[in-house]
Amino acid sequence: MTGEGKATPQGVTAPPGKGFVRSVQESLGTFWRVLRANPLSFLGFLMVAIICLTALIIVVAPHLLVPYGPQVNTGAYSKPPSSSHLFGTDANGFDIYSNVMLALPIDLGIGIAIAGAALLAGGALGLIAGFYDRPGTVGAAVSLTIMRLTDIFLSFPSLILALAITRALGIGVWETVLAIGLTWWPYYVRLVRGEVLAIKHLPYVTAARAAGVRENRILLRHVVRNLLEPIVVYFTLDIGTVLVTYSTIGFIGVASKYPGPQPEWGAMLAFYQSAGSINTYPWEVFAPGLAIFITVLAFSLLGDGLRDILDPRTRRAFVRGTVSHDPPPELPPLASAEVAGAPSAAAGPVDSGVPT
Amino acid sequence: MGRSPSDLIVFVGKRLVQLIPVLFGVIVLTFFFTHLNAGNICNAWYPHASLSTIKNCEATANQPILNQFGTYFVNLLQGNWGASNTGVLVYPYIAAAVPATLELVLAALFLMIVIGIPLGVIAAQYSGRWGDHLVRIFYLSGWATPTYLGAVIAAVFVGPYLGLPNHGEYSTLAPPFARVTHMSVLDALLAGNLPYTIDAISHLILPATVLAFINMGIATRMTRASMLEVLPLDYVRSARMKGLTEFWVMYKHALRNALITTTTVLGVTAGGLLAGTVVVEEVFDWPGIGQYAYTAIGGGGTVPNYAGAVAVVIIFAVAVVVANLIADILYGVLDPRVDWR
Repeated sequence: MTGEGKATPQGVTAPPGKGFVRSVQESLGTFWRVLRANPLSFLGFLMVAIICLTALIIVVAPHLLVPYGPQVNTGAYSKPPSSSHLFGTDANGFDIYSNVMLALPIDLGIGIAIAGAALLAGGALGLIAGFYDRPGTVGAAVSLTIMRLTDIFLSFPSLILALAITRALGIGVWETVLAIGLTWWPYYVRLVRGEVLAIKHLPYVTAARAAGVRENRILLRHVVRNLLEPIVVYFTLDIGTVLVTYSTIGFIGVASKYPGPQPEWGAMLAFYQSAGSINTYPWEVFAPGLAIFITVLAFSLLGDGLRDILDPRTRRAFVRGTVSHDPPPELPPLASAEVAGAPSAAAGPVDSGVPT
Repeated sequence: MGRSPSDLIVFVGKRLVQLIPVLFGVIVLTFFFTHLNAGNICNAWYPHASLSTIKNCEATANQPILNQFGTYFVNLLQGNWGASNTGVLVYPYIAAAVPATLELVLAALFLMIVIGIPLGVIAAQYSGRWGDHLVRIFYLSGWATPTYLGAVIAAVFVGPYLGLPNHGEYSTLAPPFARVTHMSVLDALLAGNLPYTIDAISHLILPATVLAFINMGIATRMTRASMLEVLPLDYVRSARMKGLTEFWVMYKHALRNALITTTTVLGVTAGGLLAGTVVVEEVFDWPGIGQYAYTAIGGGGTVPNYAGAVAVVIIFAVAVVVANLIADILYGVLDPRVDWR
């Protein structure tokens, strides 16, 4: 990390010799600027923090927040929300608030696990496809195969393919997680490859290569580090999307069983909705539904605001916005924001470019 | 720079040829993914089937997987898409269901365009201010709403409140005219039956609105981004300097350019809209391919239908591919910088 500064010329676009700590600090700085510029992102950040903390408490010390177990008959049947049963009870006498809360860690965990696995697998493939594509090499053939396979996977709406895979694998939480995971990675391949293609022709990469830095080292040290920002943003947004997809599969009834020892929001909705009680006992459907809505909204508010710095079109407006919002900045925000985001200058393909 | 009509044929033809391997890959992947559970594939797809069905299934399942695929692929090309456990043929059913879904999706797309694009313009106009934030809250709410919750709220609460029907395509089960196109509004129009046309439109409103609301973010976000790119350009400034009203500058000059990029929305939203139909059509009892997918997968505890499920997954993927193709061609036609050769 420190030896690298010697090997590469100084003063190129993004100094590669810069320490890892420093680059993290800079990313956090950008992150903080976005949060300050956009009150909705700040709200999302707060909500995400509270949700994660709540999930942690439920895992560590459930009795603090959850008054009843998942299948405890409280003796109150189909009662509307009250002070003793925050979200009411169902026909079995189960406390709905407790079930909704107990489902939070598993739903959140599923969202993070699937998006995370997709990020690692898709990200690795995207790195290969973007970096080793010199014509006539083995790498180019591998890259081509990866991209063709990605194109095919991207043709499927994830939900429908995941549904079919879940049905083939069998009903269960892990089967569903595997099914969604199998359909989720291609988005990351496309995102990462687009970024890598843009980054690898930047002057500082060329400079590193001219200075004799090995290819694999360039990839890991110089390219990957500049990828982190867009990937983290997309990942944040993606957690919400995964949650909605998972709960839809749960709703269709091929993900997990409810009532059971491990409640899950989608399955709860499916159960209460098919009980045909939405007019008489609306709280049964609204409690898990709102839980999904709030969780996904939290991640989306955070991620969508952050995404403004990814898209080259909105980034320029964002930079203008931050400049006009705080005139005497402690560090030149225009320059640093441009540098931080510069590698994604051609990131268009993610959601704005023409299909290639 | 080639932009003559003959170049356009090359442009489109090249893309059509590129589709062939993708479509083949889609069929291969669907087939193998639905066979992942090689151990008891028959139990997975036919949980409560009769003994003879299971026997039939096992007789097929015992063959080498490549042979199974070969048979399936040949049958697929010949239009023999198999049958459900109860003997309902897949192909005729899907052929009748596709137009109904197309109608629903097009209606949702229409709403996304007439509501989502102006919202994107407003968000860009008030970028970083409250107008922008409100639009963002609106489209992110759609994004965060679980499809079924949105659909159920619309069907159970909004529908009766507004007096809109929430069930099926028409108020009567069988309309007094031939279902030529299987699109409810179009069929009524073709028959020249005005009351039925109005009836069909009123049935379309709720499901299309739910579908549009959930996918609104893509159109709005993309319009906003393209507008933010266009607004600082010189030609927009000159339009303002000419003394044109802000409305005219925004919607005639700026949006016109921004919309070129927004056409790619068509391709991006196709997947989301189609995935949404699975739940929306089930809740609103819309006789389209989404509802068929719901039952074929075994949604809500129904008996799954293997042949139907595979066919439906393939159809959805083909629809996305076609939507992307249309978006790609449209972009090529609209953007004068694209070389067709």
